[in-house]
Amino acid sequence: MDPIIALFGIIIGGTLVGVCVHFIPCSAVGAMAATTGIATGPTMLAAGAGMMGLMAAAYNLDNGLALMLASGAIASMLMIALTSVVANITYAFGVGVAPTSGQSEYDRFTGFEQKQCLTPGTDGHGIPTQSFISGVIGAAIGGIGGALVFYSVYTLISPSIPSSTAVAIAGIIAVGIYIINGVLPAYTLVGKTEGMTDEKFKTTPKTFYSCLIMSTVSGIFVYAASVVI
Amino acid sequence: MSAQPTGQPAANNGKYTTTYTLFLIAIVCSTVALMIFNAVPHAVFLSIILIWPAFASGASAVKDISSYGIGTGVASIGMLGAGVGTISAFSSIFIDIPFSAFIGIIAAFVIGFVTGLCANKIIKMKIPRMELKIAIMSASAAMIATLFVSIFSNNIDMLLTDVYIVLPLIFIATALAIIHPYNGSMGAGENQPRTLKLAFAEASLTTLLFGLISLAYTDTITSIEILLVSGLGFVIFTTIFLRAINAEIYKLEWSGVV
Amino acid sequence: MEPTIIFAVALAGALAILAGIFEDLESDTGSQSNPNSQVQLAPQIGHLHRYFNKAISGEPPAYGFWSTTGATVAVLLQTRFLSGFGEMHSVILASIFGALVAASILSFYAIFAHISRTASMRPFKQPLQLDVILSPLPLFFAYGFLAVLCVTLISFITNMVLLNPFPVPLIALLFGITLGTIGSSTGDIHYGSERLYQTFIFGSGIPISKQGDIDVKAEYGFRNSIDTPYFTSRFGGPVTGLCFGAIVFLDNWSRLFTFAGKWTPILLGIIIIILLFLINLSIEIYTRNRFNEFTKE
Repeated sequence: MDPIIALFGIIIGGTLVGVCVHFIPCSAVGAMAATTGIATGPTMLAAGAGMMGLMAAAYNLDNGLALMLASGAIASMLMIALTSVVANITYAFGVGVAPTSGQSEYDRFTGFEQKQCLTPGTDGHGIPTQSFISGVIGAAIGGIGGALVFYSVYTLISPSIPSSTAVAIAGIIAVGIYIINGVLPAYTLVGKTEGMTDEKFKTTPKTFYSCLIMSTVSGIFVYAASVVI
Repeated sequence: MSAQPTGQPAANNGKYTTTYTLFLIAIVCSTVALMIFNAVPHAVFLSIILIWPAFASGASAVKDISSYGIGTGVASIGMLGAGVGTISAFSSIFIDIPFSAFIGIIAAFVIGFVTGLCANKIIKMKIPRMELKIAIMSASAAMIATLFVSIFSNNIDMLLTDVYIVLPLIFIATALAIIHPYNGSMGAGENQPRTLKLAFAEASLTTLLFGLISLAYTDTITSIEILLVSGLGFVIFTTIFLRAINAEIYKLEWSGVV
Repeated sequence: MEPTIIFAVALAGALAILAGIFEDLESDTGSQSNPNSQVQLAPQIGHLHRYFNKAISGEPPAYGFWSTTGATVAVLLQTRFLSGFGEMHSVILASIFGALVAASILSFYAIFAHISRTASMRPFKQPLQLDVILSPLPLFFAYGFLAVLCVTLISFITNMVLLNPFPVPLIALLFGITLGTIGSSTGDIHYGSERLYQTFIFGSGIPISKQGDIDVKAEYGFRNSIDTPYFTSRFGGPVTGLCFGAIVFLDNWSRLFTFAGKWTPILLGIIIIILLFLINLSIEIYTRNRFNEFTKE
């Protein structure tokens, strides 16, 4: 890959990571079954999924970009899907509530009525089908973004140094870029979202522009440090 | 429903120091620390002492941003700062000109500033001076990361050694050391002097851990210097911190009903 | 398919299950992560308590830190043990030392967090009781040690047998962050929604207006953090272990096959995700049929 294309790879990958956070349903008070979504912070949930994606992508480092992006996406999707299913098992058998959205009248995909299963005074529980699908889509976007950043940084730095060092440094820089791009959307979401069907999904352009600017600045520095100077 | 605060006001045990003052102290100290280590590698204990203010300035910046109640965890904002700082520091390894370490720190400041601008102007968080605070946090993390990368690589080109093994630890340990002082002190009676005392105690704990790791990389005398000075610092700062706790706690007892 | 690799995949999955269980129990003992907000809120609405209030900045970074510490110390020691003990024994021995260092640092951070947070509760008259610190301390030292040991061993397996190009500490960082995320998003629900609010009827979420109104009394006396794993180890812990174990196992398992060329793992991954979607849908339908009492109000 040409170094300048790798720079664009970092920028696109970082922006994808930022956007993916909007899709993943999560909420901190979900741990008290008080809102819809997986019960943890948006940044950290996206990071947890992205880390599995990075790890799977690293296995396919020599097998071409397409396979690498696909395996990153699949591992992230697997992580979010399993976490959603197990969280729903906990809600069903540990807490005794049905997955319900607090904002939608009817589920977009299954058409189930949502209000009848809602505990009065709460804002939803668990991960209903619409949030599950949204989360899996978000994880795919995040996994592709993370793998793209990793591959781009690796191509930038690998010519001058031994391969094992290059993989390690590219990995840690990809983790850093993944986490810094995951934090900014968390501010627009104010700690909770139901995924695509949430009102706050309309704030995605804000995240897009800020992550674009931030990835550009950090990408240019990585590019400058490894190629130009 | 919420009870009014009824206890006496907390004992005043120290003065409030602005983050900017702390950052200026941290810049001067870290620059001296890096120069000392480059000139006299055996005076590494001075570098370790001089890097602690950087932890305090990072922790103070985290406190300033998080105390506005920003809708996401303290952990996230600290990871943002540590992430920007450490990727700049690690990227500057590849720069092949003198004083490349300082370029990493300056780059961390600039990237942090741009991030803060995005947060304030595009996302409209409206936290006063957020740009500067994020920049301070990132630059502090970059200083810490830079010093330890040069200590572990013994001033030779890091890319030829296996120092890459410890880069993840430098990243996450720095992040925790600047997040945790505020995160661990949160509450209505939180005050900056106590948070900073905790920051110094955790800074010396972190350098103690790095001293342990350095046994594998540097010569034994350097490692023992780091371990001794960090251990001594940890004991002193923990004592100071526990005194502050003792002065501020509502009631200290072995056991009992509440 | 070599037998060694199949064994390694199975072992990684089994260790991941254990890591998940211990991680969740450790975080519940210290009321870390999201339920921590309830323990933090309780004194403000007049419920003084005897819970351990740890809050080491969210589980994902915290577990990233412990795991990376353990793995880094272990890797550096392992190269020194290699000549004396042989490959396998040196890995196990070094991991134990690494986990000890990580668990010690965990304990220091936990004590600092508890005493500093309690001191910040001065306006609400929350006292600092030393037995609240000292009795759970061995418990989360032990749980933390076991969780870090398992993650370190998984990282070694991933690097040495399954041949992941990342170095062991970076793998441990990635697994640590993922483990922390899973622990806070699955097992902690059982602690936050059921254990802290056991007086509330089973089968309802906790209304936002009731938050902070946690149970502070036990069967006799006051509730403390040592009793928490007694409750959460019956459901929350094993479920967390199931989740992390399944992720590590299925992710590695899908890479074992090559019947459709290089793209086989992708194909298998898609099939697994579709199956998970169907399981999720069936849980939703089951719970909607079972717990629909709010319609009869």
